[in-house]
Amino acid sequence: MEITLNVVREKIRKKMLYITTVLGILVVAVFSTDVGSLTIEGKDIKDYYVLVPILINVVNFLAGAIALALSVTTIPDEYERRTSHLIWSRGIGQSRYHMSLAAGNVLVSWISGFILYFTMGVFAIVNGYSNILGVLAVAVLFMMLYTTIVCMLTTALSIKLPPVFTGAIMIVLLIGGAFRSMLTLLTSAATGIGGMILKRVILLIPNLAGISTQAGNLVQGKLLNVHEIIIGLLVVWIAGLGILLFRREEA
Amino acid sequence: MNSVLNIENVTKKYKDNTVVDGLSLDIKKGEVFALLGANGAGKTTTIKMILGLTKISSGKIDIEDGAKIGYSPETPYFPPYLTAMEVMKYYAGLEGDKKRKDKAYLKSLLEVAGLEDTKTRVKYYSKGMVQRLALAQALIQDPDILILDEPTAGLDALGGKHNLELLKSLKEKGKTIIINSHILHDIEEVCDRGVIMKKGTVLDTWTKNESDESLEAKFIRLVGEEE
Repeated sequence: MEITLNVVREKIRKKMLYITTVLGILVVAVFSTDVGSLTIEGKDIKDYYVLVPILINVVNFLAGAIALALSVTTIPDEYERRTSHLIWSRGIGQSRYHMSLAAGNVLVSWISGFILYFTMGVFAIVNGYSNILGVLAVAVLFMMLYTTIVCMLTTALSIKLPPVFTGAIMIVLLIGGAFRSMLTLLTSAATGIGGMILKRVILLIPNLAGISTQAGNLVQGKLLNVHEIIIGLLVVWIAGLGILLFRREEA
Repeated sequence: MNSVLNIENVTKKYKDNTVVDGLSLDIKKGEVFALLGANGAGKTTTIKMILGLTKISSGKIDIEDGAKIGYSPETPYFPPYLTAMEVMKYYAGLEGDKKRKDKAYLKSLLEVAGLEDTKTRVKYYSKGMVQRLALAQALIQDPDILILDEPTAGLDALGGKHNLELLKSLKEKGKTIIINSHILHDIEEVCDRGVIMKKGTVLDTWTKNESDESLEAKFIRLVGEEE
């Protein structure tokens, strides 16, 4: 618990959290006002019930990007500055240490996501849609799953890889995850061995957009696809296993 | 005296590079023991192996059952956005002993190490202050064995003297202390025994007042001869 809280405290004091969330709030603000009016097929989207699911996708993607930025250096920094020496020497094993750091990353990312959703809630009230606040509050749970996936995968990779490689892989996964349906559609026509490999590779990308879509469905009163949520939880579980099992040779 | 730490024929290899080669030591309870040697002698690696920070390639290290170890690293680094008291609370919390988290107790340890409980964050600390904080955190769980890697490095003359006095008082309390230091005068003042190492092996042992030859002279004679 001490290690986890220390990660949160450090990210807050380093002002990393502020910088990233201010950027996020700006995006939410732009989307929620006339300045950033959204047009689909030539028609302005003014209906908040239509706009919110799109906004949720954008906000979750932002929260995911913030989660990635916040998590990518946590473990490498600990080893580089050798703060790990005084942890290991107190008999705290690597699994517990890495998992505590991962939990810190997740908590910070949630805080950042909460701020973004709070901003979205404020703009919903300003635009006269205070009645969706309830479902928006439930939609936060999907953001939590979204950012947990990003944090856990980033943390697991960062145990073994330098930050630049972890960052590069996670950017691909984050963008790929946000456009997973589109990628699946694009590759559906691909045939032969190459096509088969491409389809398998795309299967490895977590369907982050699918999770955001469920939150959008919630706002619009549509049915949820539980399958997407279960797959998301499975990714968290696999990444968690990685965090528990991956080892550093030296403290 | 009982042995609190026994190192038996320990070797550490990094691929083909042997850093510690067949090291054997027996450290008694209440002893202040010095690991001496030039850079690359294997002193810090030996400490890391005792602490479990690095794996032993062969041999074994036995530590007395239930013995608590406090450790002050060679280049201490603390979460920079914390104050000294927050650092102390952080490490006290890791040890899971609630009574050690008591603010008055932690403040007393900071004072013992020559620090004050201020709002200044560690990132603004001088090297000497960080060294003092390293010593303070090593004392949190009232350890039986204290392992100090270069405890006077980065300290000014007054700071160095303060730390030496602290080590003497800890010795009087019966603590077993293992010191790795380049400052031979300090070692001679505070240590009972030690080994002079080079390239991972023990060149010779040293015992306080064993002969008229000073430790510095012995060190230069042995290490210099080898050079």
